[in-house]
Amino acid sequence: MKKFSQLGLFTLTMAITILLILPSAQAVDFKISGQINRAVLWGDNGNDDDVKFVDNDNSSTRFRFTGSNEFNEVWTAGIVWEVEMQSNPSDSTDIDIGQNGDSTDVHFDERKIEFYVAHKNWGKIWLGQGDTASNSTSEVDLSGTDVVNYSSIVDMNGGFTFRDKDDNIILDSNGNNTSIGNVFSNFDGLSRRDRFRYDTPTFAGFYASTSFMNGQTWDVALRSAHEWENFGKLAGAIGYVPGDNQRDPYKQFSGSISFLHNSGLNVTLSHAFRNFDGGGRNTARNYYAKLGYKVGKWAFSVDGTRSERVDQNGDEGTSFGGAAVWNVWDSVQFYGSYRWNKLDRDNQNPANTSDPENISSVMIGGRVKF
Amino acid sequence: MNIYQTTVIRFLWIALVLAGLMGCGGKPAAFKQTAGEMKEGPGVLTGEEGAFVVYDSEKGGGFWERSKEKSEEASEQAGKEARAASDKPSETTQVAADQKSNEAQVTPEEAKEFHEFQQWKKEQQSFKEFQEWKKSAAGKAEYQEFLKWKEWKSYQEWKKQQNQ
Repeated sequence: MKKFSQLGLFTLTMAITILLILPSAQAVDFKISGQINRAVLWGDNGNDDDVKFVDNDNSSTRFRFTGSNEFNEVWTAGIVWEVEMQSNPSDSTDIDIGQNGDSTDVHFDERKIEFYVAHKNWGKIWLGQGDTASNSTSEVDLSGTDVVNYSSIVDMNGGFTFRDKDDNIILDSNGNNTSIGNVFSNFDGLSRRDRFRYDTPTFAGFYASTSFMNGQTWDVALRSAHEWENFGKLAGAIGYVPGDNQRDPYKQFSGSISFLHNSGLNVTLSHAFRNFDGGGRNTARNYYAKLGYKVGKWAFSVDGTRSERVDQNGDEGTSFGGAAVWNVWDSVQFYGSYRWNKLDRDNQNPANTSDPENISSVMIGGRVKF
Repeated sequence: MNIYQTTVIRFLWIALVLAGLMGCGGKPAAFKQTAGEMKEGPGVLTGEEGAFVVYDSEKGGGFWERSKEKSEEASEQAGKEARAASDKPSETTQVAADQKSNEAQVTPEEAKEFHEFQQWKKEQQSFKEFQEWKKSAAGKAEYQEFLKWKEWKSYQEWKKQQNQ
């Protein structure tokens, strides 16, 4: 941890020095920003219920350093160093219903440690830890409620385990505990990794990306955003992970699209699937749909998710949720969300005495940008 | 055709329909990922900028502003000390000045500060205009000429020094 901090600090110092010292710059900037996102999470697993004080993993507490240097009309270089620090992440199994303590291992987690060089006509290259090309391709969302409710539904309460009627934790075929985070997934690309990434320039609102990383893994993605003056805005993304290697033994497609009408009505769809290389696993899939409405400082939404065969063959997870977000001031928002999770498991572990009970959760909290 | 191929084809169709829809009079917009990302917009401590600006060559920044304030304070202090060392103004002058400032509700120091502020604003504006002019394509040739002129000017100064 200490080594990581020292290395990060050294990298940051070097990058800032280079950015500030290099001559002929048209515009140089270096900024620090961050946010705190805390919530109260209530959960009921069918046998017991509990209240938790958590860091909302939908958009974790974090801070970042950003800097850029616009050398001339065409060339720009910059840095991003973003770290998160969560005390009781809302998706942690350490805070499962019935667990009375807090999650103990609180530390800085790397999110982004990268630099980029951009050319007006040739695009942008990134090197370092950051978003892979396919990351977020399942998560395009214009509803305004994504701070508490979006396609990655496990961020809200992923650590809560399913229980049978005798309060035994539901076990999978390997004898491992089964939590919400094991049963649901939006298969959102390859997340953030140490990689080289290239983004093309934007052509008619579209741009493509590709990234390469350790384990001979690579991915590709296409993104777009368009708007109609008297109608609304549409954004979408698709991503592909060829996988089939030791690091990612699967192929994966992911895509999402979101439309926001000028009236405030909005609809979001997300679909992804993972084709496993072996292990007798059938293709796992996820379907997500959300209907929302934005009015003034408020945003509301209801959504539904169905995840199939994420943890093991024969699994089917279903979830419904509702959310409200109040943007009370530009820098402060409060939110509330309800979610219901259900697991249908064909291949029950003999240790369990009945089908999994449903889990209900409510999250109420706030996000403050500083 | 297996389920894998079927889904790929489905995805391609969706992409095609999406592309077609977007081509129908849609204006390209900036793609911004919000889910999972940090909140956009202003901050409670950082105001409209939404970030603590350590340095910005166009807008200034925390360190820049502080160093500027510090130097201004230092020069003001030096000026005060110099004034104190020189002859003190007569009591009647002081009374008159006080009366005047009370009437106008503006002290000479405030007026001076305001004048300096106006000058600074003008300089900021002209610097901004200069930066925009440098960026603009129309300014390119003119800018080159400006650089040549600067070179010529420094040459002239050097020549002058040599003659002395």
